[in-house]
Amino acid sequence: MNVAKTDHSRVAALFDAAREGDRAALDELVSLLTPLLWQVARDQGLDADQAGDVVQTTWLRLLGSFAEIRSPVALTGWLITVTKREAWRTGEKRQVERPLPELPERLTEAAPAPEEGVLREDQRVRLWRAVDNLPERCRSLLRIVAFVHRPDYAEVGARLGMPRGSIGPTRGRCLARLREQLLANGEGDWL
Amino acid sequence: MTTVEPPGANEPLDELDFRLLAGVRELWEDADPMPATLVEQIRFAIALEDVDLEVMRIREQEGLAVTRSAAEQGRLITFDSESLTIMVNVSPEAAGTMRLDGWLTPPAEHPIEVRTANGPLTTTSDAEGRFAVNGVAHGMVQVLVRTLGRSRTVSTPAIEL
Repeated sequence: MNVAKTDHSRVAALFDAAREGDRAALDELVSLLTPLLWQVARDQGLDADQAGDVVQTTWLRLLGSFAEIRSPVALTGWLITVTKREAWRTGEKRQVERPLPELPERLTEAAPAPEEGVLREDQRVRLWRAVDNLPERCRSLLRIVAFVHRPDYAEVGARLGMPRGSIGPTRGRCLARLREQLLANGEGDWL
Repeated sequence: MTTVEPPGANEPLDELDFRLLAGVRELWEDADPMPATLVEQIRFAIALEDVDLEVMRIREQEGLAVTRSAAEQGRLITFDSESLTIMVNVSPEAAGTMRLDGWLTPPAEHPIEVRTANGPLTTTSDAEGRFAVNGVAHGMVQVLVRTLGRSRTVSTPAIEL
């Protein structure tokens, strides 16, 4: 399901249809990209109600702007930019240091649903701890990039305020830090 | 400032990196889940014939914490945009429905459409900018002002009442 959610070719097909006025395609784009925009809005320090309002406003604004957007990659970038701008306009001051939210315990169900995810409990806890140890900038970047399909990384990095040329290295640096922690804690491989 | 590059920082992403990113996504979905109704709310809001919209923002809500999803008591919501402010008071009716009392600033007579889950309710604001709509069902509600003399429709976001 995670793979399907971030399937770039699906987004590309929906983008073309939606731009031609296909409302069902637009609805499906909303399903696919709203989880990303939710994380963007929350990462700006908005509370849940404000974040929901901001994400909705972003989609409403898209209605009149669809014709100006050239490609699915540009669409993702546009949505992120508008979400950030709307979040900023709500006037909430972003806290400098925000602790990572509590990770809820994964309920061990009798029949685990495969689409619910692949991480085992031990891996989840260790990965979350490693995320917690990252510098704020890395944590923020990986939070958003994790919700983006691959061809959009460079565009998204640029919209997150990183020079286009440095997004690859920056992302690589953050992931490398994450790996270092996971592989160096003496508990064996994270794998 | 000198930064020490961790090993692997400049290499292309490999399988483990993609698994880590997928894992990070899963953890954020668990730790900061999107409200279950958000996608539905957005789909309701964008199911509009108009595309040339002036989109309003929610400026303030009174009684937010208590009545976010149920209008058991009166509730005042203010929306604004570049050209217009709308204050809407939501009050419960005996029949279990709601009454919306609105006030546009600057005041003017404009066709008003209140979109609800059961279909649109229409009225017109008076010269003082006031309007009222009765019998609004609970659920998604969105107010459109079809401003006279301008092509753009002014729209509030959909809110759950």
